[in-house]
Amino acid sequence: MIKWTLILAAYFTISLSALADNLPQPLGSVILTISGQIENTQDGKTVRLDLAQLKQLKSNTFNIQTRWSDSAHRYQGPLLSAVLNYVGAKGSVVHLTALNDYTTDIDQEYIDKYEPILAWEEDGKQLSVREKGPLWLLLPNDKFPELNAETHSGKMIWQLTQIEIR
Amino acid sequence: MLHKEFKNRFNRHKSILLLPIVLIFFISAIISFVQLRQSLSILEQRYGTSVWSMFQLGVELHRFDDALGIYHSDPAALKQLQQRYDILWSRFPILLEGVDAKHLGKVNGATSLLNNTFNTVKSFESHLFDSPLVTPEQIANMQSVLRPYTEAINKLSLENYHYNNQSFNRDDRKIASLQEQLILLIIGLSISGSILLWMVLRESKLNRYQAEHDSLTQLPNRVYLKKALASHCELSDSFALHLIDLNGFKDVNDTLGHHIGDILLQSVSSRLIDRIDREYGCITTRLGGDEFAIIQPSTRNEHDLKKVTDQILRLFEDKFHIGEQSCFIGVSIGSAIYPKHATEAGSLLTRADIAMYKAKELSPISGSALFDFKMDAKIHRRQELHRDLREAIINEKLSLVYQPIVSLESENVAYFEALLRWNHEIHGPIPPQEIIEIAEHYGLANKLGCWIIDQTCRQIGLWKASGFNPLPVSVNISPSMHRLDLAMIINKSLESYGLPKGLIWIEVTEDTTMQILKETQEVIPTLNQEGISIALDDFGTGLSSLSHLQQLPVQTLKIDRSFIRHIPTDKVSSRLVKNIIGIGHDLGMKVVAEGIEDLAAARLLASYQCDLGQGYLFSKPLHPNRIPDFCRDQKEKCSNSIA
Repeated sequence: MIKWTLILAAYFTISLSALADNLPQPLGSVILTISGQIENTQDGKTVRLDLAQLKQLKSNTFNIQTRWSDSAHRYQGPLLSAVLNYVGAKGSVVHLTALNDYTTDIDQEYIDKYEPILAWEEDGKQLSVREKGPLWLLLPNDKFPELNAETHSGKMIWQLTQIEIR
Repeated sequence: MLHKEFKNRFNRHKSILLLPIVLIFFISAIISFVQLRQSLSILEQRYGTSVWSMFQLGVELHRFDDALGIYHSDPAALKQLQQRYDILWSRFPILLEGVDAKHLGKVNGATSLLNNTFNTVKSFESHLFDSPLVTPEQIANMQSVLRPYTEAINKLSLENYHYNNQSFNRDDRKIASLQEQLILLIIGLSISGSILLWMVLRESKLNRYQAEHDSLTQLPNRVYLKKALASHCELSDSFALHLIDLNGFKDVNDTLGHHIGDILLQSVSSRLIDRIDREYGCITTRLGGDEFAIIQPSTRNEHDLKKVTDQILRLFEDKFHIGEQSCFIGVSIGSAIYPKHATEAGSLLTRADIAMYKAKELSPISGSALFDFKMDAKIHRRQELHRDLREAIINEKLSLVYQPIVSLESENVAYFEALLRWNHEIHGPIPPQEIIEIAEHYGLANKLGCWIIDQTCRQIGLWKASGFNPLPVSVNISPSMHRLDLAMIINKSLESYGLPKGLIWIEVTEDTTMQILKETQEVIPTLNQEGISIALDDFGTGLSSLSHLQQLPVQTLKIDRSFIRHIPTDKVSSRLVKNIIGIGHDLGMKVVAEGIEDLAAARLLASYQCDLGQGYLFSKPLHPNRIPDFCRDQKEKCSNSIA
């Protein structure tokens, strides 16, 4: 009897952790798809998020000037770490892909050090694709001057739509 | 000599030299810094991203053109076409503002081409977004309108690429020339830095030299000697240390002046260097004043040592000539051998010092002595006694005994002399003279003197309390005590035990009184006024003359025992004593004969009218408890003999 109970308990534990499709489905239009080594999913494999869901995550605001602009602007959006935490990311490398197929990789250490945001709003206005939306990964180059160097500018991927955790 | 001259010249020019070197160093450093900054900023500019952005624009133009083609065959792909349009749109602001726009501004016609292309692209917006369908004509129109722009953009991309390459090359050449200049600056930096470093090292070497050498004679000094001794002690080879003290140097200084004294020290130094250091491989150092020390390496035996000490003594047999003056100077040499006499620098120095004092004692003019452990024992005893004396005074380990001084006529006790006793735990009874000497030498004399006065007063008080009518007690005063207010100390002490003035007398030696007279004329009359009778102790052994005796307002004259001992047998002694008694009486003093040991002497002295006597014939010094009984017995004896 005990043996059977244990087997049953083990079965439930395994099936629950394997499924883990516990995250809510998006209601609006999807702006970010996350896949790869993640623990929390919607369908067992990926997480598709709309703006409303991203707005619920811990966010930050940067008042910065990028090399692509002549003046400083106010950017707001969820912390990348909050997004990764939300999906239970387990990998060490975050592979980011933009609408124009531009890709870049950043690792966990980099995220911990610079705390990038996925900005969806510039000066109170939602970013369109024409304005580097729907999401633009931004680094606080006001706090860390070294982020103005070209190697870091290349990490500030815009028109971001897909994240794969590797 | 040449070296010295060079050194002086160098020191004079040092400050003039230092300024340009420091200037070269700092100017080179500042220019290098500016150069590096320039190189870095050039390198930073090289990483322009306009080339990448331009090619990306080209790519997006082609993709949009492709998307138009796809839409033409599949009208369901409107959404994708719109997205490609948005992406293409997004490429323009990047090239029209920010860093890339600045770069492209340098290329002819780039900005206007980009603006025109952007405006053309913007004009497509209504076709793509306003109606649900884009007609094939519109597609063809857009493609044909866009084609020349695409070609122009492609051309601009290449031009921009070449322009960038050119500026890269230009910057490379600039960096190369900057680096060539930098090499020169670094050479300047290294040379001036090296010179500065050399000057710093030289300065510190000079400082070290000055710290270890005497400025007057250029000989190594005490600091050097201690180091040298320590390093010699580490080797197993035996060596000798000679300490040299000049005799009569103070007189030269006092009579001929310090200037001559300094020159004398210099010529002593050069004699020692020439004849001792050079010939025997010794190291001569100056310890200060007129003291020198010589390390004699590899001293196997006393024969080796004697060769050097004899040579030193010979060096001082010749006169020293200083300008028109000339003088003889004596030396006392004390030597100690490592490791025979000491295995450590400090004690070797101490022992050579002890030997040096011994040499001085043996011959005040010139002489040498080798350390001997017997000398050390004497010094050791002295040091121990010194250490213990302080404690003995505090802990009442000293005591006083009292020797009666009796009238030679009636044999009644006239007064007592308090005598100091110290039974040392290791060295046994210490002679009072040695105690006084140690106390004087180590600054304990006043403390000891006050203790004796206080102790005596206390004893008189005890006698009085026990019903014994007290007699005066004379105490011995050590030479330096007269500098205190002696009368005040004595009377205060008497008062504190409820005793009247006049019960404490003092005894001083001739030499002490001479000292007192030399320093102050008022001490003795003051003591007399305060009822303190003064006795001149051990008369005849000191250095006072009869003329001084006349000046001294003392009440008692004590003839030294050395005269008394022989009077019954030696006619000269007896006549001398008789006359001293006569002179004493003529000067209004009472005369005491010390050290009376037999009846014959006592009778003879009585016949010379000597007033008082002291000695074993009457009584040895007694414990205070026995004094009242002794006095009573003596009184009875007197009355019996009268009866």
